Amino acid sequence: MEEAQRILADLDTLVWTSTNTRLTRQEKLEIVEEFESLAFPTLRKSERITEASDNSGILDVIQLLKRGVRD
Amino acid sequence: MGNLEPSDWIAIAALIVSILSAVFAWVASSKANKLSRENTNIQHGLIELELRQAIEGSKSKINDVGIIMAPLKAKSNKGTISDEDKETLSIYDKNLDAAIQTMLNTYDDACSKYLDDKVDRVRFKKNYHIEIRNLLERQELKEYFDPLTSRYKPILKVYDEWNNQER
Repeated sequence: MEEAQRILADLDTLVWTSTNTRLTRQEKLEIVEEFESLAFPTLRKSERITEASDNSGILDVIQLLKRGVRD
Repeated sequence: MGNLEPSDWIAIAALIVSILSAVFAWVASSKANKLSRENTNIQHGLIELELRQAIEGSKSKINDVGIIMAPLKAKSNKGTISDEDKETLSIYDKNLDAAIQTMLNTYDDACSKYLDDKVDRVRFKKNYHIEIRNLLERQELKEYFDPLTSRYKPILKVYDEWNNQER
């Protein structure tokens, strides 16, 4: 876990040499996927962790709508 | 070879025929198994697609209610809401609860399918482990997931299964 966090921290520091801009989230995801395919060559694409979906956006909406409604 | 009786030739021919039929049966069985696996994969894929569409549809419904509620909610938070608007907001609040229940029902259906092996279990876990964890761990949905009274037992069961495995 610490190793993964170190890799993520390293990814955050990467910049494009030509433009000196930081990597986008999509570019970082592509690098992580590349790491996965190197570390687990037999893992099917459908089994990779980067495929996971997220519902935190709609839960944030629910939180905002519920907060204070019944106060 | 020249000393073989006609009955021996018949026996040899029968043996060859039985070996050939065993080979044909094995090939046919392999093809049938492969076809069956492909059909199962297609069925799983269709069910997963249906579940994903239902979940996204239910989220969209909550968003729709939220867009209508937002102005009244803002007034309510500022304390400038009229009595009439307060009543309207109270109705929208019920709509929000209904939309949340619809969303939880769709997650519950998805978890039931997972528990009944109607979907690809590995793919399902990879797709939904964050969403299911969020549902159970977010404070605003705690009221729906009381271990004793909750109606969403499949969601609780799946959450428990995944988190016990990871401990």
